[in-house]
Amino acid sequence: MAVIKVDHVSKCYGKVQALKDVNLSVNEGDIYGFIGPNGAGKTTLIRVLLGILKADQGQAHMFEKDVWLDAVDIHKKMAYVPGDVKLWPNLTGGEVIDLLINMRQKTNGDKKLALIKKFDLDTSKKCRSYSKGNRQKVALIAALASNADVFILDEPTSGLDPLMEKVFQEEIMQLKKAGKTVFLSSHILSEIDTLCDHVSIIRDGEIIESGPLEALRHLTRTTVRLSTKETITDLDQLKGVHDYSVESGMHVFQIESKAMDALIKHLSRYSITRFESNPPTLEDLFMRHYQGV
Amino acid sequence: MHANLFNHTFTYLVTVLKKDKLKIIFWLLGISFFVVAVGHAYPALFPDQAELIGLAEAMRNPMMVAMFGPVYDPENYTIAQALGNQMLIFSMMFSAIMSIFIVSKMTRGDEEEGILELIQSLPVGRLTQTGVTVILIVFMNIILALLIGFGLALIPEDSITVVGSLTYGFSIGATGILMGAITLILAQLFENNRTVMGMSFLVLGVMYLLRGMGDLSENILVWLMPLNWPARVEVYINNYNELNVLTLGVSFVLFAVGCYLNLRRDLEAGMFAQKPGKTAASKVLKTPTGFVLRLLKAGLIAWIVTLFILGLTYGSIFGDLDTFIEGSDIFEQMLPGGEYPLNVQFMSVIMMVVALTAGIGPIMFLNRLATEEKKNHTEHLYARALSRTRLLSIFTVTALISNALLLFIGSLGLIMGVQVSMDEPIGSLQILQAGFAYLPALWFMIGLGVLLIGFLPQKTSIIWIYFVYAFFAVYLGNVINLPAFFSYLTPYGFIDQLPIDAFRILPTVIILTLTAIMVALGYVGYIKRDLKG
Repeated sequence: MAVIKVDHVSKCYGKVQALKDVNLSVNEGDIYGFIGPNGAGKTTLIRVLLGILKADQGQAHMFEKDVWLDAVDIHKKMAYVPGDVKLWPNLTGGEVIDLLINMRQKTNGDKKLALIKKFDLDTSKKCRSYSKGNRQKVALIAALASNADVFILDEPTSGLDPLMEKVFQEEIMQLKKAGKTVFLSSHILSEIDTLCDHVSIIRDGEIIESGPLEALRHLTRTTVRLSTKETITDLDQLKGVHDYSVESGMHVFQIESKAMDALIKHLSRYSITRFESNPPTLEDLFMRHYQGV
Repeated sequence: MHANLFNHTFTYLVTVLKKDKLKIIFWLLGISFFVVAVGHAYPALFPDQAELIGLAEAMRNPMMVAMFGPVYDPENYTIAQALGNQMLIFSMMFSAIMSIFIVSKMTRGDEEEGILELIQSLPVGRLTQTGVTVILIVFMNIILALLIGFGLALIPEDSITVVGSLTYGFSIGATGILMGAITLILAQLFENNRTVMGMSFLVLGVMYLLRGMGDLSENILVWLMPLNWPARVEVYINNYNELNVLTLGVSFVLFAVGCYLNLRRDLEAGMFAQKPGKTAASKVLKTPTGFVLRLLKAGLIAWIVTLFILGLTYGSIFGDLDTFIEGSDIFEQMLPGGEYPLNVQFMSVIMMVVALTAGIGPIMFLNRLATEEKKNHTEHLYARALSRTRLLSIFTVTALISNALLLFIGSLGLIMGVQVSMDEPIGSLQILQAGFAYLPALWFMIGLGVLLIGFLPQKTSIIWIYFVYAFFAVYLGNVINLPAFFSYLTPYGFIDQLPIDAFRILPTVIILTLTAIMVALGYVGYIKRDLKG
């Protein structure tokens, strides 16, 4: 069942089109990665999902309810962490956590204390004196302590140290085990790589790629470095081979996933002395799409 | 050790001038235009000498002295003297307010928003920002002094001399520089912009009230309050500019103290160490209403204290008013002969000031919702199970109730002052009725505020422009007899001054109906529009 469903959503700020006909579908229990360069429209889409911004065209639903009309009902079962956490300077971290937890109906006091300990946050300090990372911890604790079914996280780890990032990843894995749905916007690709099942890439307000992470990997090219006893000359003639070059006696090229079989069959006629292949990383995927190649 | 404290001051000053040029021009032209325009209206207001002498007599009553300062030469009262007497202290308030806003924003405001951190990372001196603030505020006040001075000198009236007009401008400039220096010091002591502004206005208000008490009894308070020095230059009579020079001298000492304190403290720290706070929220804070009240707590307390002191101060003047009226033939002639004694009539005028003041805080409370949105605080709330209607209602209701509360507190202060100072005090019920008659007008302003939040959230300051207009139209309308038309453009103009006027139900119903319409429209706008965050 699709917990989050976005149908043909467009949003303009004056003449700037922030979202162009965006379609998305997040199934229950998915950890859904949402990536894209700065200013691509990630936060705008999230704010449409929260019912803070109204879509100019199209519809967005959560739990099969309209995100604009039924915002309050939806939010009872949803938790959110903003990308740029701004807090009330005069309240302490502890006060803000309690305040935010209590504005949703379901609460979990023990979980709150455990999370404060895990994230190592001094809750007696006023929010004014918190660093970006500590402000993010406040929002994360308030969100994770809730019994929500859907978690929308907008670059939640951009201010956390590696240790805390690990704690965060553990918490997300816990959520996954518990069958919760997570919509995670991030720039940290290793994080998406470890956590997510599905990925959507947004650029200039358009979703340019979307699907299971494994399927997306097939869209990219594997880098191959090899050397053979006999000389091969026709490698660059093979279908699906790109950027062919010879570097200190090694043939280096990129190959499309679907051409791999043909390559192996072709190579079998030569005796191979060395063969290295680097699987496509999310980085390659990212770069390829971001740069619009 | 402190090499290059002021490095790149000039470069940064130019940047600030470019960045804030519109704001600077708005302040300077706004204030000088208003002050000069009022000045130009004076000669036509008092065409003959008899009226001026009557006015001088009226200005000598204790209430007027407490508000405007003493009349120095009542026998030879001229149009120029009337102008200086009635307008100087109020005009000084403008430059004081301008300085508080500019200095607070450029010191704690920029610091709070992290702009200062960015600037300090550049090769600029540790005092560059402070230095630029000082130079800018001094420069702005000098320009203001010259604009007003020469603007008034152009008035075609013999008693308005060039020297007097320049002194007038100089007093306004000196006041602005003084308040700039005081704000600079307060900005080193307190950690956020809001507190710095609040404390600066408190200092200004206390100085204004105490100088009034000083002027009234001619005691040491006259000279203890630096704010009174520029006011006591006896403008258009003796033009004691030495007092303005003294004010400037003290201001520069205060600037130096501010710079010293600035060097002593860390970025984003105050002089007072921070204590660890609560690790959990109280029961009250956990509810949306409790949370909003917590946000507004400091402001609410400050306004309650302000209104009480204001009421009490004005109330305590009434005792002197009685003896003054008995001793003055002219005053008794001025009695309209109605059924109410003069002190009751003055009460209704005083109540107007109390009511207008009681309206300021609640507008600020309501506009806090727009500020919270600009600061991306509301997204935390709206991402949870809280509806827009609910949050807007909490702010609106809080503003409406605090209007009534502050009116009550102001009236209470007045009642207590009157009880203590008068032998036969004015009836408490009469005072309360006079106060609460203003409630519909105060609510009208909240209605306008809700409308703005619904449709023009970036321009909520429009309400302040309207409020300042209303204040002068109604208040000055009373003092210098502006045509009633000006005050009919505001809700306050339709309020009956009880018990002098009889209470009419119709204006009240109309004002409340308009208020309800504006609130309803504001709700529709707020619920339908995009939020910033």
